[in-house]
Formats: sequence, C-alpha cells, structure tokens
Amino acid sequence: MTTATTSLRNEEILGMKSQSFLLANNTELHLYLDTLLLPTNPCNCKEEEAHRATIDWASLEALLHRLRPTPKDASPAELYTSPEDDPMGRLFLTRILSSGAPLTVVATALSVFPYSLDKNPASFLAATKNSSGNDDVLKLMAYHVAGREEEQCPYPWILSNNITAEDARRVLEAFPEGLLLPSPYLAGESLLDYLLFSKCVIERRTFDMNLWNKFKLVLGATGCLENPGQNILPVHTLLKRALSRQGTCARLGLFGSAPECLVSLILNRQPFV
Amino acid sequence: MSRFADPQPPTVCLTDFWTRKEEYQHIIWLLHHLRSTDRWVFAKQASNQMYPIHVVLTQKCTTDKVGLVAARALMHLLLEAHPEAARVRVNDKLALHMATENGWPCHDLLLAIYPEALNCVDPHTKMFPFQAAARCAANSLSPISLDVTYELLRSNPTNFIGLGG
Repeated sequence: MTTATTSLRNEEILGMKSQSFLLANNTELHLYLDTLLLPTNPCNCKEEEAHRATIDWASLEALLHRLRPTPKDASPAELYTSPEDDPMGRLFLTRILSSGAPLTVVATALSVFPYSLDKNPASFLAATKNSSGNDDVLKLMAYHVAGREEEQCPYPWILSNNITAEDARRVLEAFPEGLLLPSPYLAGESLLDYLLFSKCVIERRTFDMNLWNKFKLVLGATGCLENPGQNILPVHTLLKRALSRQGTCARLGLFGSAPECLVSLILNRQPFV
Repeated sequence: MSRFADPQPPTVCLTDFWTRKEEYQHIIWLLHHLRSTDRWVFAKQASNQMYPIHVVLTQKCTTDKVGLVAARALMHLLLEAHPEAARVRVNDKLALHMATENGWPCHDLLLAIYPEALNCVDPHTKMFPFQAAARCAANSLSPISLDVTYELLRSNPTNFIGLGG
C-alpha cells in the first residue's frame, strides 16, 4: 500500500485541479455532492438512514451523464479522471458506495471514472459494508477491474489485515472467477498460489486467525472452481497444486529437495502462530 | 528380472535443494496446521474415491535421497490424519500397490495399518506388492525399491513360494 499512497500523494495536485475543474464547469454536480453526499457525518444509524433517504439517486445519475471522459490528449487542467489512482474518482466512488448507491449509479460512475477502482480496496470495503446483501454492486465492480485490461485478480487486497474473512467471503462470492486469475500485486500469482508458494509468505510464515481463515476460504473456493460439482476437497486441492507446481516429477523433486529438518518440523509440531 | 522390465526410461527428478527447501517446508507446515484445525478435511473422498494420500501416491516419487525423507514425512502426516485410507481400493488398487509401483517410501507405514495388503494382488498388473517394488527397482525408479522388495518378501515369503509352485 506504500506505493499506492505515494502515488496518491503525487496525484494530489491533479486531484485539486480536478476539483477546480468540476467546480468551474459542473457547479450543479459539485453543489449536489456538497449538500447531499459530502457533509454527511451521521451520529447514528437512524441519521444515516435518514440521510440516505434524502439522496435523489436519479438526479445524481443524470448529472453524472453530463460528464464525459476527456480525451487522452486533453491538458492536465481539463482532466477530471486520471489513469493513475484517479483521486477524484476514488473519493467520489467511495462516497456514493458508503451512501448505498444503487447499481445503475455505480455503473454510471465507473463509466465516468474508469480508473477509480485501481488499487482501491476502500471502495470495495464500502460496497461490502453498504450493499446490504445485494452483491450485484460488488459483482459489477469486480468485473470492471478484472476485465478492464488484461485479466487479473480484482481483489488481491483481500489478504490485507484490514479485511475480515467475512468481508473477503462476500467479495469472493460476488465474483469467484477472479480467484483463479493472477495479480501483479501478488508477484504474478493467484491468491492461493501466493499463499502457498510466494517467498514473502514462506519467509514470514505467520498466519493469524484472520489470515488462516482467509487461507481456508481461498483454498476451498479454488477447489470448488477447479472441480465444479464435487465436494469441497481442500487437501486434494493443496496437494495437486504442490505436485504440479513445476511439472510432475520435478514437483516431487520438490519433495526430494526437502531436508531432514522437514521431518523434525513435523514431528516437533511447531506451534501455530 | 526381465519380466519386470519396463520400457519407460528412468524418471529424472530435478531438484534445486536450497531454493526448494523453504517452499516444501511451508507446504507441509500448512498441512500440519490444517490437520490440527480441520482434521475432517483429510477424510474427504473425491468422486473417484481418492483420498488425499492417493493423490500423492499416484505420482512418481523422487529419486533424490534427501527428498525421500521429506516424502516419507508427508506420507506419515497424511496417514496419521486419516489411516483408513490405507484400506481403500481406488481403481482396484490399494495404497500399498500405488506406493510400491511409484517408489514411495511408506510400505511399513501402510502395512502397520493394513497388514493384509501384503497378500493382495494388484488386479491390473497381477503382481504382489513385492513384485511391483522389484519392477520399480529394475527400472532404477527409486533407490529404495530394492530394499522394499526384500522387506516385503521377507514379511511373507510364501507369496514367492506360491509363484514358484
């Protein structure tokens, strides 16, 4: 997340310019955001629900339709959507998702701010917290990220400590196919392969309960996707993955390469951290 | 021994000792903890009747001597998690048949759970386990197969006598 944060800071100036652009050219939309979305600081659930009820999503969607993505050769002053991080889009999208935006509004917002979901777990988290059982919004967001460029896992960030296993489950259920896709943020591995084989995980080897639950979730879900119609077979999935890691025999060469300390590791039963 | 000769070339296992060590420690570490938190998943059977141990035993084992130690540790873990798998036939084969055929160093672990397997013929190859181990040794598939052959034969020499008769 450090890279994303740094990048976000770099985009801060651009974001301010974007805001100025919106203010100057889309006063109506800006005012709408100010009065209906941004000043919300609800003290309790009732106030929050009351606030949501006041949002005229149809009007907001109509206003969003007035925005058109600017051409690539536009000057920076004219840009309100950035191909990198898109701070304006990120803020806007997270805000409307936190307010429980309906599917059509989210879809329109994504067409205006197509890069706003890049490296943006906050929006997904807002969607999991506020879509109240309706996973269509999550699904739309996952498809948007997975299919926008070359296929990649849309939710590598679910391994973050800040994401609970329950939230991870909802994200996976919305778009399970993303589980098998590699991600550049996971060293080019899928979620399961990252947990099984990545040097980073192997060297640390500290699974707290949250990560352990997510590992089991990912393991079970991967098994279901690879063997549709079968029972959940986590151990089969794990073993097949390990045995086919580099070709069959070389794989067992993998076992072949393990030292005797492997045995002591098992027999000593090191405590689960 | 020509009876046991197999036209397949010996399997060559590529090993990269230092780079692979941590990786496989990690896999077994994960399995170990999975066993302690969710032991029941080791008793799950696939639609083709395979238990986890069969998934492993149907693969050729390494010929690397150090790797065999790790392979045995894996077998030990899987059998301890679900010993009943040693009694189950998959495609008419017992785990012992698969282990001797593919050079896995676990015949004693399997026989400790299901000693009757020693006298069971593989219906596909019509061989006793000691014969399958001998064929594996003849093809240099495993450095342990010759020892396994003697141990299996010594456990019940009457199988060999039966062949001669």
